[in-house]
Amino acid sequence: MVPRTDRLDRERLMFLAGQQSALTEHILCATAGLSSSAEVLDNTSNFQSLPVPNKTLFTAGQASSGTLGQQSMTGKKVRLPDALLSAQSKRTWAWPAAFAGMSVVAATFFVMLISRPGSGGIENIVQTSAPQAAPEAAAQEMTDTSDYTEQPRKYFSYFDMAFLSGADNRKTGEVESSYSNAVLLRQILAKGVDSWKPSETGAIDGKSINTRPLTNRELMKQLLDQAGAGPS
Amino acid sequence: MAGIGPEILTRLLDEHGAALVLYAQQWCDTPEDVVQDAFLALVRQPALPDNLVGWLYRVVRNEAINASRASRRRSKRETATAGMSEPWFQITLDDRLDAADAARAMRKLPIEERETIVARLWGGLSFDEIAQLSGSSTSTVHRWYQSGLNTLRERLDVVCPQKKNKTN
Repeated sequence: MVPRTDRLDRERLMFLAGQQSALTEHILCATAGLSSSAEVLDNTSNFQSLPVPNKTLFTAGQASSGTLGQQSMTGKKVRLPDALLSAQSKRTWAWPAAFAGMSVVAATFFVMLISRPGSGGIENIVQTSAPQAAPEAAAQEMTDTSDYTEQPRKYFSYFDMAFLSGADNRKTGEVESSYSNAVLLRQILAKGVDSWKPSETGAIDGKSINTRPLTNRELMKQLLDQAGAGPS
Repeated sequence: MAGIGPEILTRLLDEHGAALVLYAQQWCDTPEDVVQDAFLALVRQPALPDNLVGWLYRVVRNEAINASRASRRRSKRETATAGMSEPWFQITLDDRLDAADAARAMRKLPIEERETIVARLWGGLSFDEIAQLSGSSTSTVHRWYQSGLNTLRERLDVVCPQKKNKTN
C-alpha cells in the first residue's frame, strides 16, 4: 500500500516556496550587508535539471515576491519587467518628492507672509523747505471744494484727521480746527517740537486758529453752537 | 550559508510528501496544509538542517498536534467526519489488502502505535529518529511498532510471514 500522492498541491507549493525563498534571500542580503545575492545562494548546480514547471513556478514565486531585485537562481542578472521596475522606483521616490513639494509650499507661504505689503513699513518723514506754504495751498483747496472726504487725504492721512478732529466734520463742513491741528502735527513731525512757536494770532487765511488742539468737548460745543445758529 | 533550492525541494516532495501527509493525518483533518507549512518553513531556514527528513517529520508532527488542538474547539462530530472522509492509501488492483479496510483498522489503533507504524513503514525513519520525534525511548517505540503491527494483522486476518513459515 502506498500513501496517496495527489493530496499535495505541488504547483502551489513550488510557487509559495519561490516567494519564501526570495524573501529569505532579501533578508539575508540585508542583514549580511551583501550587495549580491549570489554570495548567499549556493544552489545553482542542478537548477537546469529540474522539470520546467517546477523551475518556472519557483522562479515565478521569486519574481512575485517583489523583493527579488536582479538575481536569479542561476546567478545571472534577471531584469524585471519595466512596468514593475518603474512602479518600484515610483514607490521609492513618492514620499521624498511629496516631502520636498510640501517644503517648497511652506517656504513660499513664509516668504509671502514676511514680505506682505504694509508689514514693517515705516513712514519716512520728509522735511520740506516751506512747510507753511503747503498747508496754505491745501487749505485754499479745501475751502474751495465741497468734497471734504477727498481733499484732506491729499495732504494728510486719514489717521491725522480722525485723531485730531475726534468728530466727523463732513456734515458741517467746518474743517478749520481739525485742519489746523493736522498742520501743527505735520510741522512738529517735520521739524521737531522745538520748531513749534505758537503765535498769538496763529492766523491762516485771516482766520484765527487755536494753537492748542481742541478737545472733544470744545468741538462738540462748537458744533452745537453752529447747529443752534442754523445753516448759513 | 545557503537556503534550500528548488532541486532539493522537489526531491523531498517526490520522496516524502505523501508519507508526510499520511503522518500528519494521524492528528488533524488538514494534513495538506500542515505539510505545506512545513515545507515553507524549511525554505525560510537560512541554513539546511542536518537531518532534513527528520526535521520535516518533527515540524509536521508539532504543527499537526497544534492543528488538532485548534480543531477540538469545533464539534466532535465535525472533526471525526473530516478525519475519516479522505482515503489514506492509493487504490490499486494488485493490493492484497483492501486500502479502505487497512485505513479503518489503523484508525482504531492508539495514536502512539499508529504514529510509529506510519513513520516507520512509509516515512522510512529509524527507531531512534521516531523516538526523538515522540520524546520516548527506542525500546518503547519498538514495542509500539510491534504491538501495532500485531493488532493490524489480527484485524485484517493477515498471518505473520514468520509464523506461516514455521507452521509449514
